[in-house]
Amino acid sequence: MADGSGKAIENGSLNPTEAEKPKIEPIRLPSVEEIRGQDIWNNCAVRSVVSGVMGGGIGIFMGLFLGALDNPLMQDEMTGRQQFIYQAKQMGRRSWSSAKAFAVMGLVFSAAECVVEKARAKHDITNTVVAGCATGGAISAKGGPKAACAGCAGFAAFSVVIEKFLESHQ
Amino acid sequence: MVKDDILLRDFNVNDLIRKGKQMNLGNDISLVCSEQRGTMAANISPAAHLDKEQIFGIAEKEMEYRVELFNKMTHTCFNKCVDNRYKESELNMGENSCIDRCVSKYWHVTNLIGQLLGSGKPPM
Repeated sequence: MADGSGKAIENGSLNPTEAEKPKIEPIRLPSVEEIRGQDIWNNCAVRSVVSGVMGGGIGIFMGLFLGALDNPLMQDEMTGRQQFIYQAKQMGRRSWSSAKAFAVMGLVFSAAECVVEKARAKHDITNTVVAGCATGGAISAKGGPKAACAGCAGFAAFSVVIEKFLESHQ
Repeated sequence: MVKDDILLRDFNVNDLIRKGKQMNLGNDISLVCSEQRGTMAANISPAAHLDKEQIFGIAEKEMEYRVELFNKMTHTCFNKCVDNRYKESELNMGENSCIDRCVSKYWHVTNLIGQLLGSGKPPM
């Protein structure tokens, strides 16, 4: 028995005289607004800024969490209120620096991946590797060339692992 | 007017020229080729022997040519750019830029060949 739209036909009760062919709907091409809306996400600048903001959000939470674990040095001398203020300041400082670090990481990674993918016109794991290397190198560039190489390799491996994990779970 | 099996027909530009010559359209064939240069209506010769039949014939050929071009372009660029293992339904960025480049190249080549064929003597 076909349902209301005439598309679904149950196997068991298919009567040749009553069988309805599935309706062929015309191809609906996207309108100009839809294309523009989708194209915003294709823009490298927009993508990297959004990734940077998301990285900043993650960094805030990480900083709050890690800052809460920190213990003040002069624990014996402070009153409860002082301890609380100190703890709050510590968490705030930690979360702000962590937010900055993660935001930069997200921004650089997303920008590099976007640029590389647009240039290659392919969707590969190579894009992730190159972007991870660029990010790791940018973050640890202050330690000299050796540290930059190590950071590049490490972050590239890390991002490949994360990418494969996300792919297999989608 | 578009037939159902337009995808399967081997309809190329030489075919078009041959059929046009059979219909004695003469220099109206420059319509199809020069349309690529964006000068479609301006080239229709104002000769008196152009009756409705022939105009419809030209329009039908033009439409078929267009549809064939679109289908071939879509198939070619799809086979070139989109990987066979579908992981998601949306086009990702690499595929988008590949499609942009493919369509641009295809269109340029089509225009170029159309100009060469329409200029009279193809260098063969």
